[in-house]
Amino acid sequence: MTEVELARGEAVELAYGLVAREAERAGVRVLALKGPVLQLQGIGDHRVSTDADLLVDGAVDELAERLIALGWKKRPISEVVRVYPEHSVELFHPRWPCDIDLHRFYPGLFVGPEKAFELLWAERVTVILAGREVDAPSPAAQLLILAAHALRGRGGRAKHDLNLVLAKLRSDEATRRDFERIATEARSRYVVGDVLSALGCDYSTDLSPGEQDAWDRLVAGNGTSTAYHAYSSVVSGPWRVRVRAGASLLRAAIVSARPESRRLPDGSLRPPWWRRLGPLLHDVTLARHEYASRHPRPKPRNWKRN
Amino acid sequence: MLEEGDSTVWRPRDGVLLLASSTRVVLLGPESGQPIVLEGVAKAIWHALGRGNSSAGVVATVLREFDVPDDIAVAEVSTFLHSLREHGILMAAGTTA
Repeated sequence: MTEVELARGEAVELAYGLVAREAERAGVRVLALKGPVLQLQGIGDHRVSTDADLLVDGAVDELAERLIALGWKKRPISEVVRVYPEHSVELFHPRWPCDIDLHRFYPGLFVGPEKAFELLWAERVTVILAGREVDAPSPAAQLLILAAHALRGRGGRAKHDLNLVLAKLRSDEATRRDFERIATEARSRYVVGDVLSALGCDYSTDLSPGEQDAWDRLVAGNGTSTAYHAYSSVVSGPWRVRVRAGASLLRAAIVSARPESRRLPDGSLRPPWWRRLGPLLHDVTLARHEYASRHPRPKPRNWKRN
Repeated sequence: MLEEGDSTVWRPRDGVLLLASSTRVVLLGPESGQPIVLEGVAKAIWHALGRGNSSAGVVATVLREFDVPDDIAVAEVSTFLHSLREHGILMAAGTTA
């Protein structure tokens, strides 16, 4: 009997079980998203996840505190104002080879955190992970989550996941119908518009211009680019918001200049932002092009003299 | 140390998380943040307990499956049971008839 290194697959499955157990003790409802749940639902392949994602009904901070008492630590988040708010608390443990992501809401489900949770909870299924029952969204809802996630990424993994979603929906008519219904109820039709179009479904936007813009900026920033989100918050929106965003950016620049705020979980130091200026500007440029491709500016009219 | 013919049977406490593969068993105690891994003899003992064996029955299983003297088998099982109780993973569930 030894305390040895966990394999990542083992750690991820145990982490789902651990969160479900602590949530049950705290009386908090959670739903297991993606990861090994996909395989159990006949959706995913055997690729090992890097983290355990769970959607939490409200009490994210209370649940995080329980995990912190067991040795988990919060990953620091950037203080920069974002167009699209932070949606999860990320936790790591020095001796576990995976993270835990506790989601306050899932990006792309514009119906709102509470209604989205209730929608997914109402059709939940139970899977067995780490020897215990864990609640999870139905396969169709799980596919919606996976599609929303894949459509805000650009890499090979995103394409792979999108292909998984399309393959499953093309092969299963009942799940396709459920997928479309849940997308409508979750106000995600714009978000998964590419999937609906590929399936030949009638597709029209269900978001306000502001929501649509926030989503497009999230997608343009590849879901994670802090630099682009900082840029977006300074150049878009009302002036009052821009001034506040500019001030927060300045504050974040000062704070992140300090070595103690740049220490990574493994103890190493991240280079200060001015040494990463080239890649950060590159991120912003790429994201601006991506955003512009979704929002082509109207061509100037050719005025004719009388 | 175990008494000869110890008829105590054991079960995991509520809240224990468990992963079992062909090579090892991973356990996370109900109040613990760090998993423990059972391989080799420890894994065999765990499975023997899972089949409802008493402590003495587990010793007999170890003697059957591994080439060890009686006193070593008794010591191994005794240490294992003590350690898993310390970790809050096992509890006595009664005795065999």
